[in-house]
Amino acid sequence: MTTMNDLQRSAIVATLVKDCRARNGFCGETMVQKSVFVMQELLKVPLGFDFQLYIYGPFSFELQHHLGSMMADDMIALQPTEYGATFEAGEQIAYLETHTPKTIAAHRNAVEFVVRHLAGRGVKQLERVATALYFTVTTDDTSVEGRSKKIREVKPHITADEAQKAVEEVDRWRKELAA
Amino acid sequence: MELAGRVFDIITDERNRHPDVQDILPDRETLLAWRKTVRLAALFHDLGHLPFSHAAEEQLLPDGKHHEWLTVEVLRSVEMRDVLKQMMPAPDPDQVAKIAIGPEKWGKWFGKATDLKEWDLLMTEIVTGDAFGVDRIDYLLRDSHHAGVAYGRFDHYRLIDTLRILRHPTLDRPMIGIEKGGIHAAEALQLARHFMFLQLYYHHVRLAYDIHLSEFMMQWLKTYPTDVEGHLCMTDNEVLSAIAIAAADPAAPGHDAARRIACRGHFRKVYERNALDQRLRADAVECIAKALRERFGDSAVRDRLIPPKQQNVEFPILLDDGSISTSRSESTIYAGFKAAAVGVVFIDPEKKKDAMKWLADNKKTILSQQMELGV
Repeated sequence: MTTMNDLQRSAIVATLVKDCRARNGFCGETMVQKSVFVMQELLKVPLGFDFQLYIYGPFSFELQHHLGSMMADDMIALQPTEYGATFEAGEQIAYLETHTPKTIAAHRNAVEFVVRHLAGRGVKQLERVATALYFTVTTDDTSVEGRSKKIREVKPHITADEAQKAVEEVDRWRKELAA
Repeated sequence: MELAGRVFDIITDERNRHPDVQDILPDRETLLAWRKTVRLAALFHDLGHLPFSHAAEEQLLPDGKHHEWLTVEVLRSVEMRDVLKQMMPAPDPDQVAKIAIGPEKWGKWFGKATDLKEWDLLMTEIVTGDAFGVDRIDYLLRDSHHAGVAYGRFDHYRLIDTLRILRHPTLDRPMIGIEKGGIHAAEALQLARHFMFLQLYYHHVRLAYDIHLSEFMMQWLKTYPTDVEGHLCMTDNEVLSAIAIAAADPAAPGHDAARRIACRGHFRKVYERNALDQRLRADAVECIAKALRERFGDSAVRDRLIPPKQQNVEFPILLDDGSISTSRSESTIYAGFKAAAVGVVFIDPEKKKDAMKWLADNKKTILSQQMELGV
């Protein structure tokens, strides 16, 4: 599958924001970052963003810049709330839905998957599970212990129990997708 | 460098420390060493700039590298290491480099973004931060002064006086924030940056000269000297001198671009990104440029697309009662702020009249063509 162009990437991100808002009402940048990472690395949606480990786990500066472009084009907008700023669908989401219906339809299940599993989680919870996925896809050690240890090496504030549960959750997702 | 020292002094002053972040501040001796590192990082931050700053760096530097890559190369040079070694205590060149270029660029070319820990991130915020980085405080004030425009000014004295290290209420990490009383100075900085970009840095005539300058430099230099000595020898003066020579010699490499710069024969704006056309097509600027190229030829058309610079302007604000809120909650300016994108299509001045007429007659058709997208 070839990597998406910018318009197709925008369509998937805007759909994610729209669905997330419809479900629980809050979709901050951390939620978008981690959801896109899960879609790309676990669900193989060819978004093509370059991720690296950062403050709250996998983070893409390229995606951060892309979100800025989407805001400039009114595809998404920021709405302040008492919990911080949330993204919401912008006026131009209709444009994306009109011009990229096949892209949205092809990856609708992936968007639903991440919204179902990640929406409503706080920054720290998202950090744990996204970091667990990061080490699941980037290391050869497939054991729960090995991946939990790697999480703790880069994120010492995450407890051993939290790290293990995060890795086990990622494994459950993989089983769910394989079934 | 001076501004970096001022910000450092204000945010680490014992009287300005918020109880939530007391534990992250190092002891006095370590703080003094950090003060030096931060000031040096601010001083060296732009050492890697090519002549005329950003004008041709994307075209001339290899593999998508930017000037920050050269900044670190200079900082790691034998000569610079010798200079730093003579200081007491001697700062680590790589530590200075990390603070000077920030986690994104460091992670891209030299290590990992996570090499910068909590305190390092605070220190690099002083230099490179989107909200209060001294780099932008300095260039906005300096450029507005030298360009003779007033809209780049803001009350940086008040702004710096009210900066504090605060724990962000939802992100739960220390960041550089501000006391409520400084919010209007902070908003003025944000607006100053917005206006300076739209009216000065991205002015269409300046963008046209950027295009001619980068074309000249590519034809004149072929490749940019990325070794430290070669880079440091290449200044604006060398380029200006080469432009003067090439403009007078039709056989010289880069003659056409040099002539356009020296004799004000720059390409003229024929189309500019606008909201109405963007609603018809998200790639309106590219479509118009393509159509003009097909009609008037590649050599007569240039285009420049600049995506909005995403800025992290979500920062904590210390309220009068001691509680902490955020910029987007407390300020309508920050809540509604949206960085602007720029897109301009240029045409050879000799063809401007024809191009304007042709575009007026054909724009609607060009923008109504359907896009073919795969999945």
